[in-house]
Amino acid sequence: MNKLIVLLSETVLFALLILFLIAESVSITILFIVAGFLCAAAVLIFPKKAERIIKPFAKERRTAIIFSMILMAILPFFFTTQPYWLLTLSLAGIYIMLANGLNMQTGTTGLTNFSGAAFFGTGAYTTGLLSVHLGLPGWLTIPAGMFASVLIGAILFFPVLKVKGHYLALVTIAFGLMFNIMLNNTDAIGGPQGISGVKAFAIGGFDFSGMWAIGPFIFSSYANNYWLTLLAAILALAFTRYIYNSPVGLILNYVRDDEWSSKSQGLNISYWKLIAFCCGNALIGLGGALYAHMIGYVAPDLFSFQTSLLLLSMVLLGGMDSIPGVTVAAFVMIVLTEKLRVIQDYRFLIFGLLVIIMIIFRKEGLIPSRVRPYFPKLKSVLMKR
Amino acid sequence: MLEINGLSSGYGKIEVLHQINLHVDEGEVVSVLGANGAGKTTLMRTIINLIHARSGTIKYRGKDITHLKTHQIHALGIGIVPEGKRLFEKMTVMENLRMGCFLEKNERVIAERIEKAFDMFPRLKERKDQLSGTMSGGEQAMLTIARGTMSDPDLLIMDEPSFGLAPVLINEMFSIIKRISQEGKTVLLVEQNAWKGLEISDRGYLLQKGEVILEGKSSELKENSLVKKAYFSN
Amino acid sequence: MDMIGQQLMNAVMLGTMYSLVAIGFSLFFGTMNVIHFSHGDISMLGAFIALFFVPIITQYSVLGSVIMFIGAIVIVAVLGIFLSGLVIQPLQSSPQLYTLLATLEAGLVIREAIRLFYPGGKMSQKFPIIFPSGGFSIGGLTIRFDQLFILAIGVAVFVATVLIVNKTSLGMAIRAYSQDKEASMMMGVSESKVIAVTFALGSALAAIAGILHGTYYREVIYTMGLTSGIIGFSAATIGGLGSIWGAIVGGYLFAFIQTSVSAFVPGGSEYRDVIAFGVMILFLLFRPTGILGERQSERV
Ligand SMILES: Nc1ncnc2c1ncn2[C@@H]1O[C@H](COP(=O)(O)OP(=O)(O)OP(=O)(O)O)[C@@H](O)[C@H]1O
Ligand SMILES: [Mg+2]
Repeated sequence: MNKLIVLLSETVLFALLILFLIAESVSITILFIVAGFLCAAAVLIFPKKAERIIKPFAKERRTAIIFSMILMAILPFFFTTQPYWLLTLSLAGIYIMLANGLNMQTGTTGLTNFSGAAFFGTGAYTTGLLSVHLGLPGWLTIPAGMFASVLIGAILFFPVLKVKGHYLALVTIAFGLMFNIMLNNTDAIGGPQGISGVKAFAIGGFDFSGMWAIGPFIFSSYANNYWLTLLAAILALAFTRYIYNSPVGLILNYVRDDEWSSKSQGLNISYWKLIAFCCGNALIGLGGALYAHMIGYVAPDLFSFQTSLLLLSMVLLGGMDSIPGVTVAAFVMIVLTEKLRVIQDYRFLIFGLLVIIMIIFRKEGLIPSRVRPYFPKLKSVLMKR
Repeated sequence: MLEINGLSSGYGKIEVLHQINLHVDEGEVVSVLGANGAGKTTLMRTIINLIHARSGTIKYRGKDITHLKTHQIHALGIGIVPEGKRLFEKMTVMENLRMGCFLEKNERVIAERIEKAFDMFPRLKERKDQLSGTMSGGEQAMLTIARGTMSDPDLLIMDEPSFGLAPVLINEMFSIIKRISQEGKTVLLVEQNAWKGLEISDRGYLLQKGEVILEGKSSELKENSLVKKAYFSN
Repeated sequence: MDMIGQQLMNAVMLGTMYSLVAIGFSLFFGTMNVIHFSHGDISMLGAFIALFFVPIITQYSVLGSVIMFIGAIVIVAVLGIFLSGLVIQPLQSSPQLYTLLATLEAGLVIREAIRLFYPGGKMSQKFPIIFPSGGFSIGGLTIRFDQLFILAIGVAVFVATVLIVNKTSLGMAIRAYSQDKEASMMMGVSESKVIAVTFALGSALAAIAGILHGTYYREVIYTMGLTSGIIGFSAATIGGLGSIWGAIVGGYLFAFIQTSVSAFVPGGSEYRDVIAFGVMILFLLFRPTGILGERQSERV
């Protein structure tokens, strides 16, 4: 019974998503948005009733996850004539990685990182440079991009460990500005023009920019990149979820909530802070690397403070430390801005206002993180690090 | 003068004071007694609305002050000597005294009051340009009391003014409280030194776990076994 | 010699503007223990509001300039109070991160509002000349009158601020409040008044900085607040957050570092901010209380 509810509601949601993306008239789009907004409001106002719909998902978690992955995987079949929307979805996938990476740092561990865009940029530039100048294949450039983000992050190790609160915010904001100035003024990496001609991802002779077909369905580079991003996003989410549910996640929460008492219990705060910082940067770097291959072009503009703030907004609107929340927020924010071209220019203003309202009235975000069960035993195992 | 009816308050989810009834009449010195953690400081802070009352009313001269802001309550003529001194540590003795009568704008009046404070505590005069944070604990206690009287209040609320004073000075301080009361001021006093407190006060209340369990004339309270128990066993 | 003189003059100009913004950071941190990250955008707003007055001032006149100055300052001061009521006071008892985010987002909203709704706000705007033009030269160094005006206004404002904080009863209330909130309220200090005055004062100084920036560069753009805010915070940190003199010293120091980099490092002018921010980060790591600060930096 529960299974049926899950399969059915996921199919309905899937159909709605496709309709929403395909619909061309603005009024239908707005209708969708209003309906979505009302649903969200209803869930917030009647949490008990909403619980009844959510419960089957919790019970049949496995089915829910596998089925939704299958649905997302077959999605390109519906977009053979309008592949552009696949690009939007891929972009959403990339932002899901970015936002979850940042969430691991800021939401889970309490490290205020206001230079997310710098690590995003490092991943993208590294991949772009290696691909354009050395012609390295994608299976090398992507890990290299991730690694470079972690490495650049090492510059901030010392501040991350020594500086707290708004001072850490200042350091990371300044770092982001410094990074952007460097990008704009270093001719070797293209200056303000950036790097163009980044090759599409390719593996085993298959070039992701090529077309191919299954029967009547023709798939373009958009679909190829979509699948690649989907795979990466699933892996990234699996990783963050694994960390979150493991004792490490619990420890990172301890580090965030009460530095002093966890220290007194024998935790090595510095170690765990750096772990969280590096893992987060690796995920952000991954997003950057995929971005470079997908768009084929990187420039300083995207990696500005504005983007760092956008990423933070995703974490905050979704709910600090809440993986489902952050994921949904990133997805909705990207898809909405692409879909509603009219608001494209106003998106920062709108999101900014939304975040302020959210902070004042609902700090825990749209989908608050669950209260963790306490595992004293698991904790003591890791205490020895 | 001060009339408290059915007052409850607390911190977060915990209610500390339950249904307190207490009154102070014009010209009286009233002691609030109780073991550590009984809720004496909580009561004082609720009166001046640093902690919001959860129920009940506080009236001062017939006026409901339950929901007034702290600074408005002070402006009605209530002086405060808070627990733990709470001096402005980066200000000099002089500046602390001036803060005590922050609402008084007449320089001549201020000068007179400062004179009077120095009269009461000559020690402060010697140190008038010293930063209050660098003074000894006893000197800080004196300054706290002096600062509380600077606004020439009608009602003076004192929470453990003798804390940290040497025994000799404690006697001196009690005689100063007596003097303040003889000048016509009303005093609501919390004292850890229960006997001395009762000696100079007219009436007293005994708090236990946030409730008034006893009230009466100071002379009677001194003999009461409950009071003895509150202070000598826990 | 000539070049060095010009660079020095430039550093003094920049330092004056930075210090004016930095004082606000110090003031807000000292009294309320908050960092107001949209403070730089408030400064930018000051310049743009001043531009509103341009159509009123049809031609250059002393009276026109004064109206423009005062008008913009008053409006921004009121907006500062409003902003503190909106994003700072409601969050006083929440974790620091939320104030941080709320003020950062508020800055974003201000920037975007100007970009989107100010006519032609996406581009930089010409700023009118409000000081007498011309100048004079001593020993090869040309000093423009507007530079003298900027310096004079800056110094006058520094002195006025220090006097307000140290000599007036409002200032005494602010200092008392910053040392012990509750005790100050017990002495009759009104909390809401202190907060309003602090934000009005800090925002007014930021507005002055914004207008001076406009007159010095002859143009303003909506993004200028982001950098000037981060520079202001950096300067206040270098000087010692919470101290007004510290903010002034920090502001000039930051400007001198910047100008020295562009003057003496070949091709350094592009990287002057990178180096100056680097110095600020080193300060935070090795002398977190700043040059003059007494407060512990670990006030989390
Ligand atoms: N800020 C606070 N948060 C939570 N609980 C508090 C707080 N302050 C006091 N309490 C609790 O309220 C109760 C009453 O405390 P209060 O300070 O009023 O006692 P007191 O009678 O003044 O004690 P003492 O003689 O030690 O000064 C105590 O149990 C104390 O733990
Ligand atoms: Mg007490």
